[in-house]
Amino acid sequence: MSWDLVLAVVRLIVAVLIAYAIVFVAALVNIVFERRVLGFLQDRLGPNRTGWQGILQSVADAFKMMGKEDFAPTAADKTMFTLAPIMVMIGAVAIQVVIPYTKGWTDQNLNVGLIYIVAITSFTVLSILLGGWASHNKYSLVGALRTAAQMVSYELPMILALLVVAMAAGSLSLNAVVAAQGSYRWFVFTMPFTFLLFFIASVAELNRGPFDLPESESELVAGYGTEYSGMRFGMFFLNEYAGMTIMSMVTVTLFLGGWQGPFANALVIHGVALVPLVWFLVKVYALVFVLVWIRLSVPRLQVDQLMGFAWKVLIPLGLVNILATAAVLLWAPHWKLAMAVYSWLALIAFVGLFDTLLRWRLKRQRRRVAVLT
Amino acid sequence: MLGIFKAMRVTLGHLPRRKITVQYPEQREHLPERSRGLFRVVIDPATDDPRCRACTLCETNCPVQVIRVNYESRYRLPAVNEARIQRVRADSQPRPDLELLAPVIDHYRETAPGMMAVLRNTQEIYGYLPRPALQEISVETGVSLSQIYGVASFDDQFRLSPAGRFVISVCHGTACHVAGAPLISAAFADELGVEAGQTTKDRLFTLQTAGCLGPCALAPVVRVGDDETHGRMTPDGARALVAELRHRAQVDR
Amino acid sequence: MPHGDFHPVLFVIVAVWVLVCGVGVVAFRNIVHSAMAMVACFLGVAAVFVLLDAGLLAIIQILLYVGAISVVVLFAIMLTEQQHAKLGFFFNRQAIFALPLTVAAAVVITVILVTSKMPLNGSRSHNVSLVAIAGGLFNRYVFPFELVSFVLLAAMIGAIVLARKEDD
Repeated sequence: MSWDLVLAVVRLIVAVLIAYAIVFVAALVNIVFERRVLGFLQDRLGPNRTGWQGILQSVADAFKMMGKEDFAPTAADKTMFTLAPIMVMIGAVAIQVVIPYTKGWTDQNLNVGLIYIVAITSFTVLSILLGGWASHNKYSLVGALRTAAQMVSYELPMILALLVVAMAAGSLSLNAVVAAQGSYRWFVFTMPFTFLLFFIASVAELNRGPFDLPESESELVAGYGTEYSGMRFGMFFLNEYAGMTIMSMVTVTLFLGGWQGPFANALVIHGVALVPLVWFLVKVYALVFVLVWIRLSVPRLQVDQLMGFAWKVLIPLGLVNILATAAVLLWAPHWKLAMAVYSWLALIAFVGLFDTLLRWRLKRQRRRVAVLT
Repeated sequence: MLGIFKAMRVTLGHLPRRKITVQYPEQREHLPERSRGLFRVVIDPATDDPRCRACTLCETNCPVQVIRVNYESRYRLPAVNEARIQRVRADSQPRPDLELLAPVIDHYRETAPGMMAVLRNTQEIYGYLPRPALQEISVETGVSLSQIYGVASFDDQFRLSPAGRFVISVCHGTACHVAGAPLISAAFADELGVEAGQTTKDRLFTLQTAGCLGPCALAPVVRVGDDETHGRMTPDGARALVAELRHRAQVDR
Repeated sequence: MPHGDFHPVLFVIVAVWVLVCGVGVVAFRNIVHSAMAMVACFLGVAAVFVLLDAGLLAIIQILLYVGAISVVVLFAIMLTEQQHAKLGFFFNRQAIFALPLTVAAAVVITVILVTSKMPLNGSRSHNVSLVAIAGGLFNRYVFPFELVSFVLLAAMIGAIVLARKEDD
């Protein structure tokens, strides 16, 4: 039993505990952040009684949820019913292994970090399917299948956008991606079209915003989570909010320059620079604010519109984007400038033409349907 | 896509606006003079008396059921004729003996039945539902008076004024209707001098129409009270029945 | 993490995990439990790849097997009707044929493993870099690569055709 091994195991356990702690804290902060921001955007104050300006509200909610009865339906598969909410957190926790929080601080500097992220996001689908099945409820099952279909469909545009980032950064390692965005050449400025594709796909992956059909209370009760109550439901719930932060962290790392910002070397303790950490958090929470803002402003997509949007719009555009980026990288003389020009043109074309094309297509569809007199 | 951005811009525009909600109870919104959201007994400045008429509708309609109206009102309901007439009738009714209500209240306390059962028991004791009895029920059960009236007025079996000695029910079910029940009803109405649903002035007869009473082979059917059924009725038979009942009343004096 | 050094204790733990989950796949009576055991087995195989210092393969294993294949298997399970396996499920009449075949297969595999020249002492694997894999895929093995993509295209078209509603 070598000392090396024991130390490695201890480090592993500590890292996992820290990751879980970050996930929980992020989830709790997000919940109260969202409630207050939603309140402010809706001309009202959010919950501001518990603790200073209401920041202890989610802690109170978490305690309340933990005190609820541990209840499982009689016909439910008890093992799977308990396993699903536990498994669902794994996605959020495991991604943190590769994210560079600040200069010189990554848990594991995997040189295939991007693929790792993709692999972990595909893990959540499994736990949702299990959750829907284990409830022994037809409607939960249908909800779980719909959720799984949505998440699987939107993984593809996400991966296609990630590939473009990898091409532009020249490596799959997240540290290399952050480094490639030095001197404020963030990918959101040089590749805005890819950023838009990735952002839309990530919002759909999170089951948030206009893509939250699986958990829309008005339509499916709670979809796959119908039979869950108390802390089991709390786990699904926390995972969704933690996912907001985690996905924002990924987006910031890939497109918004990670921890880069002014005064990077101002405050360094034990080799860990603290000012970039602040920039990182600021950017992450700006993105979380945008997620909450979108959720409030955009009406929900129907399930067929959802799937149609993924397969008929985002995936072809993602593929075309890859082809065009590859062409630019291979043949254009100043590839950075050429890529920026192409990407901005693509963004303007997409945003400008989307409405017209959609209206045209709907008109054609309506004309094809026979009018019954 | 552009529409989404426009929607987002609209939403963001709400961020700097003044918020509608206030930090209650530290801050309160100033309500206009005549607003009716506030619970208080309004005093008429002219007479220094409360304006409340104890109709208990507030008690019925309160969504959180926090209002209880305890009243001994010396005011009559405002001048809607129907209400005034009902009140006159109620006042002219003999004061019911509320001691008789005790077994009904006990039954309620033991088994917590619905209001229908309580009212049916009450009607069995008094023959109708006197207002003082309903008030007593309201006090004892905690259900507001207007809700009790809601149940009582909805169902045909409950009478809010005393019935006559003989309750004549003319069946208007399908078979009886086809066999000429309207003529029977008209004959009764003509003979007794009251309309369906009313009681004669001498408190002998109450005329009412009923749904199908059952013995359709004997259509048209008339039932007197609870147990006396006359089949194959004719208008002449109706008049004869009234005469016989009058005679019976004379004899049983 | 002392990977690449093929730490024997870790390997024994992971191998036991893989074997137990593999047995679980066939032993569970509830088919969803079997599927979950299969997922755990795949994760164990990914751990073996990590121990062999083939991180990319481990991640691809998770991405494809756990993230895609298991999901498809679960979809298939959940959308079809199953019956609960009875306890005597394994020792039915087909065992007469299955048992000798299984033993024969195990013997053949053992013989191959023992007499082959593959490096079995867990020395560092040939950790091919991603660039080299891409070079191989698009230069030397481009033909099988395109064939595989055709097969996938055929599968997708088949799925769409099967799932379409009948329009008149």
